[in-house]
Amino acid sequence: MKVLFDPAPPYLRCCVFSNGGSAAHLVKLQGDWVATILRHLGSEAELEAVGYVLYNGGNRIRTAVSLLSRSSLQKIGRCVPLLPEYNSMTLKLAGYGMQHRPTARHLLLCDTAFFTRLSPVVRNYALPYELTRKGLGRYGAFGLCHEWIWQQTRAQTSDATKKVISISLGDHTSLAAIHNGSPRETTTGLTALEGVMSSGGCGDIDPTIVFLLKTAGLSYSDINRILCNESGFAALAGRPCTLGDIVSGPATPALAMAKRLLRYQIIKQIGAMLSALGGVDAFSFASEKPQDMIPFVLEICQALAFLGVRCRPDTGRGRWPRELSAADSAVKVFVHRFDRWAVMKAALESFGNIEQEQQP
Amino acid sequence: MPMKKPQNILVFNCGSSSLGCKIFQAGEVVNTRPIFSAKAHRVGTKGSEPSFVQYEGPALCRKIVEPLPDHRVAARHMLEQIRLNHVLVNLIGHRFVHGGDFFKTAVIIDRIVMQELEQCASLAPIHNPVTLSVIHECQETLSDQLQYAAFDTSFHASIPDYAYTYPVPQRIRKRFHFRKYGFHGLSYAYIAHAAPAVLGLAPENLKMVVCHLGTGGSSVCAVRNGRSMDNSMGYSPLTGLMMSTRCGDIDPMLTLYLMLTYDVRPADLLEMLTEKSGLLGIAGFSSDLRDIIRNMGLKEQERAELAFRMYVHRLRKYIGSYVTALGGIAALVFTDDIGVTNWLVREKACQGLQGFGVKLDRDANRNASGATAALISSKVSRVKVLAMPTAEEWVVAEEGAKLTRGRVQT
Repeated sequence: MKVLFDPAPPYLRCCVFSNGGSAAHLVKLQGDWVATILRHLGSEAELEAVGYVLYNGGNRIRTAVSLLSRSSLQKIGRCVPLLPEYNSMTLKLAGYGMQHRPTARHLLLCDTAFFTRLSPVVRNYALPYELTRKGLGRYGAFGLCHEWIWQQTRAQTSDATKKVISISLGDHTSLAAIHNGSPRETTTGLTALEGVMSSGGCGDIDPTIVFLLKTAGLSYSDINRILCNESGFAALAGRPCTLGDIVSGPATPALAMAKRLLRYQIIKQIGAMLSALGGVDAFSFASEKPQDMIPFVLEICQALAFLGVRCRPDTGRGRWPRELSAADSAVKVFVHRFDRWAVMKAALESFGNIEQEQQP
Repeated sequence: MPMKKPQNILVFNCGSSSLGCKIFQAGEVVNTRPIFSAKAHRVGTKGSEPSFVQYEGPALCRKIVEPLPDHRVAARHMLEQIRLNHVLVNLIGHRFVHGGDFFKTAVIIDRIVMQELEQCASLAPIHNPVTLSVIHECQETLSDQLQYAAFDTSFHASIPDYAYTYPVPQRIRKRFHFRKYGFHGLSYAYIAHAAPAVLGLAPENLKMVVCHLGTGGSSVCAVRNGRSMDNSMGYSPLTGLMMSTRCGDIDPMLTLYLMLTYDVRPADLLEMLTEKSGLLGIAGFSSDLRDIIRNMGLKEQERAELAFRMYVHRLRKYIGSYVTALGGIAALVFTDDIGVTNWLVREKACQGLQGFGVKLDRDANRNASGATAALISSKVSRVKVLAMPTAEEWVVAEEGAKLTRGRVQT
């Protein structure tokens, strides 16, 4: 049996994989955390491995999957200020898991590790260099997803596909420019707030607003809440809403505005990624609900017609991934179905394979 | 109908580290060639070179090296030279960077307007206060002269809602008038007006990306049909490209992170982001791109190359994003000091833009003088690339002539 813990404060997402299949749960963490965790971990005898997702490993955690040890717990501890609520939850979960199930294998899945390979030209902010020396930079986010999109795209194409722009569509959309498996740019930065707006996050805005809000007497936690939870789709629609509501719900004027803004932001970011790569062989979109996203993807591709992007009139049915590009398209277009649990499970298992390969 | 007597319009243009001043003769039209011009360089900068004022005009053509600790001192220097050379001034215009929600068009400065301009000071903390200081200097030195202001933000009034709206709660947008305003509008207005003729292209539906690369501030603008569609600067001139001392785009969360983790006071942080970041922040020894390029490859200035590459990378990203937003372009224009004089920036920025149909003519780019418009794209390039001096001051003079028709004594 394998178990994955994915923090989503104040909730914990958990998935248990056994021979009988998989079961995902959303648990509100309150009171006795240990009892809750142990309930999902099962008995010592049947537990093979536990994976813990860390959303921001900064400069300290540079591999996507790594074996947890006491020293790596200390490293996670130093990453807590980067994303306090999420990272502290990962730290607690990993600590409890290792303490109460000492014989199982405990693995850390770091969502920023992929982007530690970004060049300093891309990774640095144009701030006084002492801050870069202290490790401050664009750590990126959703690296597990973008690396998976790259692998899936390569599996669908020949070795000639070297330059891929991956577009992860969701309540938190992000893009990455990938050349031969290495990241060249991404839309997210120090945190996942940078880049494209999300369901509650503002995305790229003039940071002067933070100073205006502070001068107006708001506390840091108020400002944090406004920018991370009350902005994005929620601010434009005037109520909490999902990407699905925006792209395929009834088109109220507010939702239509949110869609226009989101589409414009994605198109601009595609251009930025393209110039960072110096060309592109494939646009690879991924979503947990790919069928719902197809009309939106086609709208985006229409704006890319000047690059020679052509889509098939019949977008097909059935299995994923699906190629949308027509035979005469200058750039390939794919849509993938992203299953976060399956992707994380594959990442956990890939660690086992690497270990076996490394054995003499 | 009798010919109108020409008037002399003195225009001041405060850059973040420079001060330009030109006098134009305006009759039925405003002459494009000024009768007097001066530019103060390295005003208030920390660099290895001294500050100076370069004068050009029928009676005066020379470079005066002079300590210029601030813009008001530089303006005083220029007004003194104008007086000594007996050049008549009928009207004084000022480029004003950020007019906020007060001003959508040029305006005569009276007591009430002055109060409103002062309320705009904090909107562009590098530019607006220094422009106000130059207005004060003119009021003191030439107290009888009518003054007016023309705004950089005006040209960007055409930016569509999906590009200017910041997706934060509406109560915040309303309370702080928080939206993208865009800057360098007077420069873009000139390029949008003059570039089509230079390129031999019809202005109707012409799609261009224009890069205004100054010694202090820089931005990129998407232009369609002579109108601004987007600009890399935002509510303030802090965002967008990496600049001489401004950080450009950062994660909004970074400000909170720095205040909380390093216990930095908000005012100190804002000062750091506007005055100690950008090229200066990375290179450490200078905020001037020319110094940085000169020091690239030297072991003792190992971060010069990093600063240059970061500057170019961000510029290239913005060009790419606006080309895509416009659905392809017919022209890419580089303007202002760095844009017209620095072939290396143009060469590196265009590398990687081949996918958009941009191909430079290497020699034409390297040989472009900077004094006049030069076509620097190769014959096979789908996109025409131009290095073209801007004329913000002429646009300000034009605004002044329209504004004061019949009001100014000559």
